[in-house]
Formats: sequence, structure tokens, C-alpha cells
Amino acid sequence: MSAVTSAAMSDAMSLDVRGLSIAARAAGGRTVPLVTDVSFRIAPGEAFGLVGESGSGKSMTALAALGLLRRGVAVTAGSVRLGGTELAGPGRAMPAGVRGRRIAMVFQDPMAGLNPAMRVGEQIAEVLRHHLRMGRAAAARRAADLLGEVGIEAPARRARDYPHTFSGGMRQRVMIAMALACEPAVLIADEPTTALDVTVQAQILDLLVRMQDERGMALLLVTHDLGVVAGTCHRLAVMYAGRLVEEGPVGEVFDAPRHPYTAALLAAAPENAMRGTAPKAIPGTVPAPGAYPPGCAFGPRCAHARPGPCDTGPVAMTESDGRRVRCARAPELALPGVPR
Amino acid sequence: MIAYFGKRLLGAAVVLFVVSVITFGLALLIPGDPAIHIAGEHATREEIAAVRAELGLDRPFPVRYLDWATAAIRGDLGTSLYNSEPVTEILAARLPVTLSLALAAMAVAVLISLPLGTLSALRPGGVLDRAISAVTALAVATPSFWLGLLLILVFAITFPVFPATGYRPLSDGLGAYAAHLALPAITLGVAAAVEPTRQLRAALADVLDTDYIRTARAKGLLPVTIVRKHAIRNAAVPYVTVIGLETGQLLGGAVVVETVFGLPGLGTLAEITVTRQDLPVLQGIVLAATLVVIAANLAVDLAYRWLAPGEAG
Amino acid sequence: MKTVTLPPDTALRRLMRRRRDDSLWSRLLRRRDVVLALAVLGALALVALLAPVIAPHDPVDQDLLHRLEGPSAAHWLGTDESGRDVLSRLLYGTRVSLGASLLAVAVAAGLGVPLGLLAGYLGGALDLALSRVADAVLSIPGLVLAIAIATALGPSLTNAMLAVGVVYAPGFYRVVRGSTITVRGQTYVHAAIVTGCSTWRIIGRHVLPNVGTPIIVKVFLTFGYAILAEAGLSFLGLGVQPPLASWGSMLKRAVRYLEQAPALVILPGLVILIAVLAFNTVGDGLRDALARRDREPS
Repeated sequence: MSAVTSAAMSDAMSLDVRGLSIAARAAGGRTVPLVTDVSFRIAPGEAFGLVGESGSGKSMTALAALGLLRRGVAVTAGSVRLGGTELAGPGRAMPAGVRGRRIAMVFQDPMAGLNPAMRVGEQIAEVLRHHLRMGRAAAARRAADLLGEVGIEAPARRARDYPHTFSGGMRQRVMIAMALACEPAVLIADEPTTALDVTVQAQILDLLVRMQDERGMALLLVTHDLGVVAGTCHRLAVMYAGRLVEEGPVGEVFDAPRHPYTAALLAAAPENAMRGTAPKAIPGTVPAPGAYPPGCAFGPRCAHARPGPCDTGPVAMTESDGRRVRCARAPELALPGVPR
Repeated sequence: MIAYFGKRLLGAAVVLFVVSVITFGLALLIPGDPAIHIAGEHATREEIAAVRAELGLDRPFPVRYLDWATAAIRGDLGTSLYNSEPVTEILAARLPVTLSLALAAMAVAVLISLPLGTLSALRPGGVLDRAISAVTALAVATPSFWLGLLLILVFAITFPVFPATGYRPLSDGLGAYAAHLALPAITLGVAAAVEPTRQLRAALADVLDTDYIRTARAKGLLPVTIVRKHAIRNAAVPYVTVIGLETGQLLGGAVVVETVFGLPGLGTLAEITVTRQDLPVLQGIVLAATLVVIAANLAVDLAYRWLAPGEAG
Repeated sequence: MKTVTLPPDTALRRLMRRRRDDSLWSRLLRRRDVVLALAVLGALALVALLAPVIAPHDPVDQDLLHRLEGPSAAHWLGTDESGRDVLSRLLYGTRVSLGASLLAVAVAAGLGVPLGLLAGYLGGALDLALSRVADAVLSIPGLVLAIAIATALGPSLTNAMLAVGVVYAPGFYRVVRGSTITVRGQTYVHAAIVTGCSTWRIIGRHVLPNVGTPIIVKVFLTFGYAILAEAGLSFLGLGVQPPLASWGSMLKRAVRYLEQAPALVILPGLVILIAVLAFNTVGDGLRDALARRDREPS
């Protein structure tokens, strides 16, 4: 079935985020921008990494694509489209029958993400029954099959267990099985390995990549960890203070980052530190939403910032040879990358 | 599992023991010497001593308690001071009425609290939530017997829909039984619905904020399904707990409500006993009511096993 | 990536929450319902104190020619089955009902607070024994126990309210014991112990002030329950004895005239409702204000 659908899927089935802005209503009627003018496009069969620190707006972007923003937070401009369907836009509700079926999500904390009072098989089966109108028995069988596909031993028996009998890694496999149940065109994984033991992280990432590859899905991998992106994604975008600052193919960005923030993130990752040197922390902290500095938001922490181009007016995104960057000094900087 | 229930059962036994001591100790509160009371004002010292020996009052308190308790365990709670009927028989005749009322009231409480608690949890702080919390605040401040009188005024006198007072056993037919229980059950159920409504609102609002509810939403399930299948079940533990705890409240309230509606249960018995100062009967009522409460709490413990797999067990 | 930031959700919630001055009383007085409730309580207290001054008639004065009358210029709220002025009886009833409830609350707090302090502070066998007794008392349906105690003591309003006080004492006990255990674990209490303060001094100087607010919350809420309990017991004939009247005993007598004079039933019930609502509103408001203060210490 997946072969048929993937053959039918043209470029028109890509996930298209265009000019997306998200804001929170704060006390006193103020609105605080959380995400500003974010655009990217993920084709079927492509794995795309969205990278940023906590509070950069990367998770918010992912939640908006599923129409899962919390109360008081809303899309103020732009759109998220899947094929011809608009999933999110200002004042738009998620169309029925899309979420969970054509676009699915795996969350960060598998310990909290499963209903503790429901057998895991049932939690998978209910997606099938709701979206595909499967019968009880057929859905239960398919749920067990899915558990087997994500690498759970004795899936038919385990399907009847409650979540508390599973380890963190196993629960994340269950979450993935649940997300894949309806063969979605797009899978969003929000920090899928952050809450897991290091040894388990690689297994889960392998599973995600394998599933994405086998099923020809578009994968949006949201993470703070460039190391996670390196081994899994084709392209990546870096977010800072609610905006994209750089976007491009993973290899090229790692080899030669064009935004100082990307370069700083690469240098700060422990696995990228030169042998014998400590990873370089980025000075300062991420500005809080609503307190973004004028000009380049990264300016105050940037080693390359100059008065003038960097601290006046918004800095525009520029595009050249398939890469985008939002840095006034990008053309003149030659930033160090890391070998992958 | 067995250890868990063993522990709960032991706890219940300890509570029951302390309650029985308190109940028996009620006799000590009666001012004056009961022997003089019974033998009469003008009895001689010897006569009083004889009464005292007959009642066993010359023996120390623990001994008397043990006698009383062993008899009580065999189902012998003594006889009524008023008409010498065995207390157990008096209680057995009236307990079904009170239990019927309490169960019906509990059903009313669930029927009220389940929708109200759920509705207010959907949008905490919203208009509906605030309206419901105002209604519960009113309900908790309303004397139950007064509400009962108002219901009689409206639904039995002004619009004669239900009988104002009286009781028909189930053997007289379900219709008559239910009609006579309706107003008392509503009276008692309204008050008993308040805490469950508040608990459910709080618990459900918390649950609706959890990651697994977000997962359920990400699965594209209908909001109704999410609340019904995922949220309510997980909010049920505190809800069921508080419903169980309401049992005591219900039985206490039943005393007054039975009086208003003339139901021949433990409540009206208590009211009659008050004027007769019939202590053995009162002790029996206290014990019977407490036994029901303890049984309800054990039932709640049993329910946990089903509601929260992986915890309590 | 080594920067420490708040989890975005927390940061967002903080952002979306209104910033407020966090003094307990200013929090409390910003709530309109609480202010209104305090005003009602103030008015009730005044009525209780000044009943003889403001009552238009003697509450026990019978006028058999004017029985069960509706409102008139002479009797604003009409007359009861003996031709007594309903308004005056309600005003005097305030004194009886609030006084009785005050007695019950005092008994409940007088038993529960010291025992809770001792159990929480000393722990051990004393705590275990007292807590078992509290559990047991709480598992007896409150009104049933109150009836039993009041009957054993003999029917009078004082005895009834003593009984109600005993029934509500475990509530105070639990609150105080819990707070005491928390306070006892604090460093400054350890410091006081180390410097050789006596147990009594530590309880009085360090523990009691810190469990004060939960006790005040409990006082207000218990007051509401006590008014309801007084009404219930009076309704059963265990409360105030005629010719004196409390709100509950007025209801009891009015039941017989429910069809002829429903106002006699409605009025005292309404007064009870308003009084209990006022006590509960202040209690709940205080508790909410406390809970918020404890959640975000700043």
C-alpha cells in the first residue's frame, strides 16, 4: 500500500510552511511574537532537521503544523500546507481527517505521552478505527503488526500491556507505531530522543530514518542537537529567537556554515570539539520572547556583530545556490565548519 | 495486590475498633449515674447497687467494653431502652430505606457532577466554568432540609408531580418506590454533587493538560472521544475517591432529609431516639452508619485497581 | 548549547500570566466576591451584637390575633404561627445561630489545634494514636455522631454545638498536623532546637505562627459547616429550646405551615444560605490566595 501511495505522491504532497508567524496573547491584550515569518518545504522522502535552542520557536512551528498550539497561542500570518490542503493559517482550524492520518507526530517524552490507563495496542488501534474505520479485531491485529514493525518483541502479547510495563525506548517505539498507523505523508518528530538514554537514542533515530525511508514520508525532525541531524537528515534549518537564520543541505551547512549562530552551535557541540579542547559555549542567553533586540536577534551574542549592519532594522533572508541565510555580514564571513 | 488489600483491610479494622470504643464511650457522656436514672430518684442505696451490678456498671470500663464488643460482633447490640426490641432488628428493618436513599442520592450526585465537572474542565476560567462554580458554591451553602422543603413546595404542593412524603418498598413496584425516593434523593444528591464536581473539574483540567492528551489530539481523535476515552478515565481516581468519601456525608445528611420526607430509615430512627434518649439504639445507628462508610471506602480502594493500572497495585 | 534557559512552556506561561502584587491580603481584597462576603459577615456580626437595639419587636412577643400574616408596615417580613414578628426573630436568631456556631468552631479548634501541633511536632506513638482517632471520628458520618453525642449529653443548644465541635475537630487536627510536620522540617526550627529552645517555646514561637493561615482558612470554612449543622440539629429538635429561636429552629416550626405560609420556611433558609455562602467565600478566597502565594514564592 505504501508503495502505491508513494508512487502517487508527487511534489504536490510536500509539507509547505510559508511565512508562518505565531504569537501568544499576553496579559493586558499584548501579543508576543513567538515565531516570525518561517518558511521551508519538505518533499516526500526527505528528512528535514529543524534545529534551535529551547524557546527558539521550533517546537511551536511543529505544533502549529498539527493545529496543536496551546490556548492563547495562535497563527497570526502565513500558512502550513500539505499538498493542496491548508493545515494552518490565521483563524483557520485544522481540517478534519488530516491530523493523525496524513500528518502525524512523535513527541519528546514517551513516558508522559502514552495514556497510562489504556493498553498500548488499544491506543494504536483507536487511530486505525477512527481514521480507517477498521473493525475492532482488524485494528487490534494491525496494531500488533505495527508494534512488530517498530521492533517490539512478542507484539501480540505486548499489545495487551499497559504503558508502565514498557521502558522509555520501548514506549517511544510505541509512539512511533501509533504515528505510523495510518501511513501518514508527513511525520513530525519533536525531540524524539532527548528524554531517552544515550544508548537507546541511536536505535530510535535509526528506526525513524528506516521508517521514513521505507515509506517515502516527509520527516520533520525537531531537535536542539545538531549531532542528531547530522546522521539522519538531508536538509536542515536553524532557528533563533523565532526566526530561521540558516537553511541548506546538511553536508554543506556543516562544512561551511554561513550564519555565525550555526557556526557557534557546531563549535559548542561536544562531539565536534577538537580533540583536547573544550566545546565552546555561546556567551549570553537566548532572549525571551517579547524581548528580542532590534536588528539581528543573535547580534548581542555574536562574535562577528558590527555596529550598523547588525543592530538596525530587520535583517533579510538571502538565498544563493540552494542555501538561505539571515545575516547581514554573511557574504564577508568565512566561518569554520566541522567535518561530518 | 493481596498485600495491598490486606493492608487496607487492617486499616479498616483499626478504624472500626476505634469507632466502637468511641461508640461505647458515649455512655460515659450521660450526665449523672445511669443506675440512679434507672432505679429511680427514691431508690435506696442497696437498690442502686443492685441495678449497678445487674448492668455490670460495677466492673471496669475495658471489661464492659469487651463484653459489649464480643456481643456486637455476634450481632447482638442490646435492646432498646424504649421498647426492649433487639437493636439489630430495629436497624435491619430501617437500613434498606437509608441505603436506598443514599444510593439514589449518589446516583443523582454522579448525574449532576459528571457533566458539570467535565464542562467546567474544558475551559477553566471560562464563562461556563465560572457559572458552574457559582452554582456549586450556592449548593454547598444550602441547608439540605431547606432544599427538600422547597422541592416539596414546588414539586408536591404547587405542581403535584411527586408525593411529598412517605416511603414505598420496592416490593410495591418500582414506580411507587422511585416516585417516593425522587425528591429526597435529589435533595441529598445536590449537596453530595458539589465536592465531586469540584474534584472532577480540577482533575480533568490537569489531565487535559498532559502530554498523553496532546498525543490523543495529535492522533486526530474527536474531542468527545478524547474526553470520554482518555481524560475521564484518568481523572476518575480522585473523582471516585471523593464519591466514596461522600458516603459519610450522605448518611449524615440522610438523617435530616429522611425527617423532612418522612422516610422510615435510620435518620428518622435517630430523630425519634433523640427524644427518647435511647442510647443502645443510637450506638447501633452510629456503628451501622460507620460500617457502611468503611465498606464504601474499601469499594473505592478496589476501584483503584481497575482505574489506575500500575499504581495502587 | 550550554546556556541555561527556562523550558519554553514555563517561560510562555509566565509571560501569559498577569503580574501582580503578591501580598496575601491585597490578593484577597482584589476579589469582589470576597469583599462582598466580608461585608455580609460584618453586617451579620453587627446584627448579632445589636439585635436588641435594631429589632422592631420583642422576638417572643405573641400576638395571636395576627398569626401567619404577610408583610405589613408593622411587620416587614410578616408574623409567624404565634403572631411573632419574623424580622425580629431572624435578627435575634442571628445572635443564637452565630453564637452557637462560634462555640462549635472554638471547640473544634480548641481540640484540633493543640493536638495537631503535638502530634505533628512530636510524632511517634502519640501521633499514631491521635491520627487513628481522627480517622475514626472522620469515618463516622458527622451529623450522626453529633446527634449521638448531643443526645448522650442531653438536648440543649450548648451540648449540640459541643458535639458539632468534636465532629469538626479532626479537620483542624489534620490541617495543623500537616503544616506542623512541614514547618518542623525547616532549617530555622532545627536551628532553634540546636540552640536549646524548649519544645513549647519552639511550638509557640516558630511553629504556631506558620500554621496560622491554614487555621484561619479552616475557621471560616468550619464556621459555614457549623451554621448548617446547627440548623440541622435544631431542625431535629436538638438545638435551641423554645421560646428562643435560631434560624434552624424557626425552620423546624415553620414546616407545619409550609402550605399556608411558605415565606416562613423560605426566609430563614435564605438567611442561612447567605451566611454560609459568605463564610465559605472568604474561606475559599483565603485558601486560593494562599495556594497562589505558595506556588510562586518571589
